[in-house]
Amino acid sequence: MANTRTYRPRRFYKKKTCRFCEDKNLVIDYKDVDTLRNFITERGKILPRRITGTCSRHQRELTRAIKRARIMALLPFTVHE
Amino acid sequence: MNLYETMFVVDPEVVDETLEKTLDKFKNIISKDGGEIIKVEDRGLRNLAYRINKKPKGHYFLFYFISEGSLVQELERNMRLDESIMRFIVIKSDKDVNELREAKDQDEAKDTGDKEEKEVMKKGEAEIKEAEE
Ligand SMILES: [Zn+2]
Repeated sequence: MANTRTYRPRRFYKKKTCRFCEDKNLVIDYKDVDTLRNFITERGKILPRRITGTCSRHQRELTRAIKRARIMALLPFTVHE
Repeated sequence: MNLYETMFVVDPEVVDETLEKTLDKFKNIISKDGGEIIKVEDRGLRNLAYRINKKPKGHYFLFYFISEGSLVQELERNMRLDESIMRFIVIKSDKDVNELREAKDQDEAKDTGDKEEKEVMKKGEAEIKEAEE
């Protein structure tokens, strides 16, 4: 009885999965700005893994692609108000 | 030999023959030492995500090519020294060479038929712009 709390699943918990592991056709490319935009904030910052659910390998690839896109002025470094 | 891709942004004020010359220069660098250009994409004038040299737009190009790694360095050096190049990147591509070649052939085949349509679209865009202003 004392331990029920520990094992009770969180009510609104939904397991986040890596979109790139789930869909092999989805590629990470610095040119594909529409996809990359799903992984940055409105201010242009890279969203952390714990929010997007991306696995560490794909997060690494994402980070690299976003940085390349920024250099090429396809994505902003920061968005000012 | 590896498959590479280079994306570069040309100053939008560089047009016509000057632009052709710049593109030819890069194409020649790639072709001269046994390199081969697989596909050239003109991605057109696009809004930049941030201003570069106070300019809001840039003309984007994408080349796919096969070459030795040493050629990449020469290409990069030339792009760095060229003042009309606002941004550039040269990386190894994981695309399939044969697919690129096929896509290129298809593009060329439909190019002639599309021209008229493109003109009409351009006109349409201009009209929309006018209406907005
Ligand atoms: Zn993954």
